[in-house]
Amino acid sequence: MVKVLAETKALKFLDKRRKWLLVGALLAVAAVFPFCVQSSYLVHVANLALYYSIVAVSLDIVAGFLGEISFGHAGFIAVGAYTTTILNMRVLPDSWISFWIALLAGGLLAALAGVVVGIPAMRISGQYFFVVTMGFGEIIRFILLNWQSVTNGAFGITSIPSPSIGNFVFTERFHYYYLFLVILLLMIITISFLRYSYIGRAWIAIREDELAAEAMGIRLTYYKVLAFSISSFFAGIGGGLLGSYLNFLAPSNFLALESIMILVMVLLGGSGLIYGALFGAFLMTGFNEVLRPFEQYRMLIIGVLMMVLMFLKPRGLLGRE
Amino acid sequence: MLKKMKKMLIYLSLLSAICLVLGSCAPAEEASGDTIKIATVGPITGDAAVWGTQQQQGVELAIDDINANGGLLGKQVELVPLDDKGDPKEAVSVAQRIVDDPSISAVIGHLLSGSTIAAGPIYTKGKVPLMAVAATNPKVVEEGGEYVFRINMSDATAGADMASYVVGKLGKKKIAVLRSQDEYAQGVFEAFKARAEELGATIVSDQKFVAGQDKDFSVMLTNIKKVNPDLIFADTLAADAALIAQQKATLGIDTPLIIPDGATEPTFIELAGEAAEGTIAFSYFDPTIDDPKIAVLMEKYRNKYGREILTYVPYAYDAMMAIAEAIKIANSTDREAIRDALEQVNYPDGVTGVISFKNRDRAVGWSVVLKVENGKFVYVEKSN
Repeated sequence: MVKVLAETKALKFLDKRRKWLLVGALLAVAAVFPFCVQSSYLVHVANLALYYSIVAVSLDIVAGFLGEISFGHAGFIAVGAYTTTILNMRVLPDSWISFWIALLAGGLLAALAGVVVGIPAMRISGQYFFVVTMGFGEIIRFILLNWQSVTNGAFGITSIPSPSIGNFVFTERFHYYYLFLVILLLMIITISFLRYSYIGRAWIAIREDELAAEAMGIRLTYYKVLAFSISSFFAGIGGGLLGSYLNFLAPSNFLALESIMILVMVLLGGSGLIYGALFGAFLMTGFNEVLRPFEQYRMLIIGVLMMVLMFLKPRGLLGRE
Repeated sequence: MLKKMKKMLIYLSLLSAICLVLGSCAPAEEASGDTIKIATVGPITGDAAVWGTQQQQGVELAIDDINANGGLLGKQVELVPLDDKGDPKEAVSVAQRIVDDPSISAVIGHLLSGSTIAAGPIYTKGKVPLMAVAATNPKVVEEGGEYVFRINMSDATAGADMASYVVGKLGKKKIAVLRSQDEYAQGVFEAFKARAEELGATIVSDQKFVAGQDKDFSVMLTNIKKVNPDLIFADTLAADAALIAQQKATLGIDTPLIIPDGATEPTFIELAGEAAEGTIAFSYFDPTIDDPKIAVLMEKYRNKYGREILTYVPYAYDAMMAIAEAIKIANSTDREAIRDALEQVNYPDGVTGVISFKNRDRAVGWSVVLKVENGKFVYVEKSN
């Protein structure tokens, strides 16, 4: 994580020891946050921000490390969300461990979807890749809408049970807060580790120059599909958590607009940096709530803010110039 | 020393930034006291914004009327419009925000069934009364809990209402049903069957199909022809209902056809063409309705917004009236007192008929009967 922080110009004034301090301070704030604010509304907003962080950081693997613009992220989230929920509610036995198995299965099925979409899609890139992934997102949404016997169509799945560990049930907002936080941290550690391993360096090499990377012996399709499936896996986990948090799932959660918003979070914060996507997710969720009193002008203001920010900081707010 | 101060400055500025962010998103805590605040929530932006705007305008009209007549408990009523984009995630955020803001006495809305189902339990947990305006899924009230009420009819009430009309008023006794296997058709059918049998009719044929997949209804219709019913009920949405109407005409079956509100859309007539003629259709509202109260409301709407009235405006208007009535009964703006009073509301002057609640759902349905004539839905009568 510290290594990741080291790459930013915005934090240049901090030396290595102070970067650890910054990470420690942020973690400390995160750990006590629900007890400081004493407002379930603010904790809920934080939960949404953490959920968006999970899915935005997962998208960053494809959009940032690999440099491909994926427009179907909501599709992978939906696969994870519905798989987790349906397995947990209808297939697996009634036990607290079922949810966690279902969550893992949701992630794995989303990863499989990533491979299935990834293999043909990875032979193309740029705007064509963008069209294929967008098509995938819409296909998933239409399957959810029309496969009524399993997904209950547009009405969605209601009364989704809350997860539990042993006798402890996640009921309050701050319970979920810590669940989201732990999963986000585990994910960031895994991705940071990958980023500085051979795999991560291969991704960056492909992003910088595909031909040169191939000439150096990097198997393009393998590494691209790997990135896509890992990204989808975490998106699926995020989706599974979302369903159990809202106790409700419907295809309207996974519109193409949702994919766009997640992509915006990554680009706004700065792609390929992990903490850039994190920052973008918190910023967009915050904007969305702070601007709520402006009613119909809210989305307009968010749009203008996005344009201004991209003009001033084309590589993202925390991105390298 | 200087270095240390610089460090402190950095931490201080970080801290103050955090405080600023937290401070700016905290909702207003104290109740102002001189107005009664009622929130409306619905999609003001996004795909469903047309309906969300209707809801808000209906409530605005009601508030104008209430305030012109001296307000409630000597106070003026103030509208707090909030947007949920029709997205269940946003709906949960808005609901939580309202629960944490004690100045808001009651909520009207969430419009779409999905958002209302997601938000309902949060209002019940936070003890804030919610009045749903357009969400028809029976689960909205069932799963929403003790604080969720509904001013419009649920799919179940609509089904029962249809049965009362066709059996009670038209005297049909042998009814054949063709229904799609989805939650909507299921909800309508169960209530329809229960009421029809209660009134002495029998369901002589009940056949199911998969919506959007089964395109050939000729076998089912031939089976229906054998049992010789008085009426055929196509319990599904517009596209499939149109196919049924067409194939029924091709087979030369002249038994009358009825369709539920979910199928009463211009698409039905466009797709069925000639075969749609004579179909009896049900709806929540029709602008050609002959009702003096609606005429007054239409006039007010036209004057204020310069447009013709739309489906949900009368329901939104009555939602506000029901809450106003509950505040009068409770003689308080306390959320729990309003909730308890809502159960006792019996307001005869609603623009959509008598307003009273049974199990938190509208007790007396109010639906409009239409008939397809010359390629148009024509108003016949109110079913209640």
